[in-house]
Amino acid sequence: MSPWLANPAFYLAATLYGLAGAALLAHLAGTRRQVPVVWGLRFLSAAAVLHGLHEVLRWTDGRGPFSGIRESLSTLALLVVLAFLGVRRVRQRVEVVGAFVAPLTLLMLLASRAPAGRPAGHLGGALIALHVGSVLTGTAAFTVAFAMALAYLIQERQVKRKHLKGVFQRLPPLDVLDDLGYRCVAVGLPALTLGIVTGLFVGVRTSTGGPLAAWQQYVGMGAWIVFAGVLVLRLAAGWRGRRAALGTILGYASAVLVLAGYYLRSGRP
Amino acid sequence: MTSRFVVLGVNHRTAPIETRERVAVSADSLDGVVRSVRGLPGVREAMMVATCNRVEVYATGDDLDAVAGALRGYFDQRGAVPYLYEHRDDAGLRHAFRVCASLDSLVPGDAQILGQVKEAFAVARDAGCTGQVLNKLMPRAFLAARRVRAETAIGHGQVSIASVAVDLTRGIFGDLAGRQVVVLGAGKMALGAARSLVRHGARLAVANRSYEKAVALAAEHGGAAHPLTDLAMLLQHGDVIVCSTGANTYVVTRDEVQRAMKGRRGRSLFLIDIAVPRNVDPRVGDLDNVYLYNIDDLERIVAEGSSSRVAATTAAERVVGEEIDAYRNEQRARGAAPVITALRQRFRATAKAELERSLAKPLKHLTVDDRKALEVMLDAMVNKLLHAPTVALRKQADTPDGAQREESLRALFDLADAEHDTETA
Repeated sequence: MSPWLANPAFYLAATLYGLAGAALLAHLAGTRRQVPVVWGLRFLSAAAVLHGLHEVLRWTDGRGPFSGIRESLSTLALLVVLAFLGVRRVRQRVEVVGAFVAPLTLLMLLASRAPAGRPAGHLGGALIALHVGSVLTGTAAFTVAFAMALAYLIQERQVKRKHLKGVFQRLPPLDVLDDLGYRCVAVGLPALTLGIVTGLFVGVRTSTGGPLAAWQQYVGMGAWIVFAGVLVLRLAAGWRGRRAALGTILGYASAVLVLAGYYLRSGRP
Repeated sequence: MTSRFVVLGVNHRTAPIETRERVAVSADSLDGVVRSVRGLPGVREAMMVATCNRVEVYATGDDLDAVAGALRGYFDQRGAVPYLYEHRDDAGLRHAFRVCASLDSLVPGDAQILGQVKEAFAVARDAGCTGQVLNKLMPRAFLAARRVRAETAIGHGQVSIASVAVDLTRGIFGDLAGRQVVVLGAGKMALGAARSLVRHGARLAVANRSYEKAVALAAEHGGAAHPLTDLAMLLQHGDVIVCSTGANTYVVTRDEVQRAMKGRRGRSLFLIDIAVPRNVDPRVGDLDNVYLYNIDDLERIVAEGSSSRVAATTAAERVVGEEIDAYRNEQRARGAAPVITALRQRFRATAKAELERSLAKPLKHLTVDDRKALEVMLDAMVNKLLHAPTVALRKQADTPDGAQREESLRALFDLADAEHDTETA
């Protein structure tokens, strides 16, 4: 690795994620000195570039994007921010949802630097890469869906309570948030499905486990069922809006638990 | 006192929409209601302003306690007494002027209220319910309102119900292009809001109890016409429903919307209920993905958007104050008129009697021309002598000092009989 370049890239990316989150939250909250949303976006884009540089430098040092839970977390953070910036290019007026995406990204990036209790297990092989890659892609999509769902619930509360100043004016329309949340779940679910299927084979091969791993699998399946429910009930029973947003948040909480399980297991001596 | 005048009523500030629904008077029945109010004991003149924000009676009578009591009884029958306000004489006068000038509206600068009060006055006048006081007071209040609109910025940059409806629809649906807006009823405000949505790309449908009226409105505004029996279908396919029918019961019920939401497969539905009494069951707003705003909600939002017009409101208050002063001065001048006339008559009669006595004996040698010249001189002298007291009386009429002076003059010059003669003449 090239620590003389990778470390500054990491710290700068983290700082910029922090600034992006702060700027977007300040914009959303409508502080007295109005912060233009474009600042937040610029910070976020710059952070993504530096984060990408950090990833590349680390890879050249032999630690690929899926080589361990911490590397995977950093990769996931980058995927989340890229997914959000991609969504933002497709649909205008969703920039402010970055106020929820940026802090999550920062958290993942910082967690990727926490000292490990044991050396990171170097995961190799195409199947494992496919497994981890699929799970991370799905989780990145779910993270953006989670941010949309959170924004939806806030916006819905504003409309129901008839508070049409401030936050209402800055958040995207309800239908836009609902539609984007649905699309993100629709992208994330096949990726997660692939991750779970490949995970079965990986599990058989590596036979790593223990009670925590078993719980992780149950919770992971639970997350899959919830996200599948969000999609199926939307199509079959018209569960949109608030119900879909709550389902997405529940599914994402389950996915985060699975991720936390991996993280904790990797940290045990 | 300039006018024996009282205002009693409820408005958006004192009464919730549920109470205003109970006292609401439709345009069709206003004439009959005003006649019945005019027929209450003690009421000499009456007019009623009935809008979605206020129902108030302007009345006059000799015994204001009796008039107010009778009006209070009218509102009591409708359960509105706890929300009543009452303004008498000068306070009532000020209230009427402020209402016409839209200063008492939730949104100062509201363009509709002046037209509504004018209409109410016309109905009362045509029904023979107005008289000397209201026929002078209301035109003056309309003049003040016109001055306020012409001389202040109160109507500039108005945030309207229509613009709030557009903002809200955008906040729910995003792009308005292709969205279906349905107007139930034929309210001007509802059609105005719908037109704004159509200008942003929405499609319009109009439903009315009278299909012929729906066809006419749809043709006028460029939309599709439906009978009100199509309501279930319209709820299922419409995105924004603007309700403004004159119905006294809910036209859109919770069950109907719940059924429609099943057919809509959860798609958002935005209902704007501009009618008073309300057309949409308020429990509809509790349903998932259904957003219901009534007239109070919309006007509160409009008012929030108009809070920066303090300067214009201050200027408007000043204009209203000037017009009230001018009206009072006119009334004062009218109030002092009998004393002034009697005083002049007394002076002229005395001068004439003395002139005639002199011409009969000591000045009987004067020619006809000399006699006429003497008569003109005495008339001019009386006018000059009484000019200053006349001006002072007019200026100070309706003040304690003025009243005292009037009484002194009556006593000093024994004017009671002369005043009586003037009145009977």
